[in-house]
Amino acid sequence: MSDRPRPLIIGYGNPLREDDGMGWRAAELLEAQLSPGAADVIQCQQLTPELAPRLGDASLVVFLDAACDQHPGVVSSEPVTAEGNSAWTHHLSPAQLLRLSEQLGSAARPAFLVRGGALRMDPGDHLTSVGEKTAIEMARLAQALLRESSSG
Amino acid sequence: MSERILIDPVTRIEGHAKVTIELGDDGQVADARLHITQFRGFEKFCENRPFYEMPSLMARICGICPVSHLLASGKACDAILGVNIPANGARLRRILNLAQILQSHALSVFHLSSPDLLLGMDSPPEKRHIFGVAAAAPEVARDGIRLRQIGQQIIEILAGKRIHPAWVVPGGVSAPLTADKRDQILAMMPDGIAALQRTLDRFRGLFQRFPEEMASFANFPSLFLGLTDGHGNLEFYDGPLRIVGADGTVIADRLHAADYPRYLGEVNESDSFLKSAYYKPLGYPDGIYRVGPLARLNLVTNCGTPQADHELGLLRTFAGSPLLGSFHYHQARLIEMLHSIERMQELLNAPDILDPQVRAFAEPNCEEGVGISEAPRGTLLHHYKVDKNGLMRWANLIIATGHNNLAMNRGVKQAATYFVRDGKFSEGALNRVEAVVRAFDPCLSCSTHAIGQMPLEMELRDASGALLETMRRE
Repeated sequence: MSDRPRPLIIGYGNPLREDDGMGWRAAELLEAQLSPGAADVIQCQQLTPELAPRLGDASLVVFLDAACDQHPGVVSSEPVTAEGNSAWTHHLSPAQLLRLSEQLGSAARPAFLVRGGALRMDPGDHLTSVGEKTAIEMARLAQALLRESSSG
Repeated sequence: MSERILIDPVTRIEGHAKVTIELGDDGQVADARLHITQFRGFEKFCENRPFYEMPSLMARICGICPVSHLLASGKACDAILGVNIPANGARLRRILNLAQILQSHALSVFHLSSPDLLLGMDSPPEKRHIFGVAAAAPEVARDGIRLRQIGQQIIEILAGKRIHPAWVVPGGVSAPLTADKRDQILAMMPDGIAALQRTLDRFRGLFQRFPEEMASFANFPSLFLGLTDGHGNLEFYDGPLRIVGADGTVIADRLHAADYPRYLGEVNESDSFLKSAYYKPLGYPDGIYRVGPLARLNLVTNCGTPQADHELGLLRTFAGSPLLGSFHYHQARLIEMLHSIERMQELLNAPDILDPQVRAFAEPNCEEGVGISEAPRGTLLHHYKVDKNGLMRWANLIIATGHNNLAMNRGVKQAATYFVRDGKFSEGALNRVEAVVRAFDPCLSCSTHAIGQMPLEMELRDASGALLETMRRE
């Protein structure tokens, strides 16, 4: 295995809350599409300070998350810049996590947040059919970001 | 005119609480109370479920210390099965518990309390968080994050996942350790010890800059309760309970967990969802006692591992023994973290650590079981009663924060009396009142078995109960 920095994919949300697990599912789908060792993939409930050092080791960071403030099935992507802070240590936003990583001494690195609109987030360990299709789209979009990054 | 101060919500703790400070007609603090304002009720809704579901179900009480509930629940279920679990099953559970102590203490010391310690109690509240620490002392933040990460990774390696793992089962653990996993865990240990030594070297001097806090943060005589190993060393997983007094005298020893109703009582207060535990022979509220890192160090002669013993000696030289001031909880946590790593190394290097016999199988043989272990915040007790088919009929949980409730309340009043004078108070003074609560590292999700936010409120009221001022932080 090479020591060269690799992209880091973080799929997060609650997989016991139906479509809130879309980030996890998209990360799983993306990992299956990538060649072994092409990226590091993490699935977690929330973004916590313990992830900050991992960001520092990555060439690019892609966050995958479910969104309840956009139309079900709609997938979006936006760059993330390091900013903000929080007294809350159990849950950080991607921008806060990036900032913490830089405060701990890591160089700034490109990062993107890919979000998919959720249909429902009720108790349940399966995605809705809309959620499953959205997760597939999220994985596609994330893969395109990885391709762009490696060609750029 | 008398007044009342309300701190609502209390910040940087695990759960939702508020503090009320009542001022008398002379402007001095007449009373102060910590109220726990959340409720969930696991003891009730576990009824009629099969007992073997309890470890996984009870672990849902808390996302910070699910491992502690897994262990106490697993031990209560062992008692219902009526089995002695295989020695290696117990050894692996011990390692899991030590990893839990490590990660939870790291959260308390670095993420929640180090902003007060490093930036100062009077520093701007908008900077008193882990980001503020990372900006002012990135090496401290890095060490704290790394230590928590090590604890979480050990839990994940052993138990499959870091939150709510299902590896602890009635009768032992569900799978043995492999050589590969053992080596992975051992490889992290030097990093952890180095981070702790750096922190202890730095914090030893830092603690001395807080003489007023040492004097006024729940600094009073009380009893101390916790598990012992029978040889005067720290014990987190098993063994009889010991109670010592404020002068170090052993008040009661070799107490069996199953007999707890004889010596521990619980009362409900009308203004809080958190029950208060007390030592029955002294009655309520005189039977006030403390549990957790401070209490555990007061119960033992040594930690039982060389580097932690050295640090304990330094602390006792500085602060005396027994340690009566709750400000020393912070340093006690760091010492326990060091001990946890040293002890994990010992256990992982034991010749039988890869022994595949890790679980005993049986049908329920008893209709009642009590499980007890030391959680990061103190003694944790699960008591279950089942019917002949193994269905849960009744449960009672006594959580560290409940054991400490009387002491936290007395501590809040002591600090409020010290820092709020003549009806005058600053933000820094109120932060100190919060910091007393933080020193105990209460876990309110655990203690009320409840879900909630993390914030703190503080209320200022006059003698007639009229609200004069509220401070609220999210």
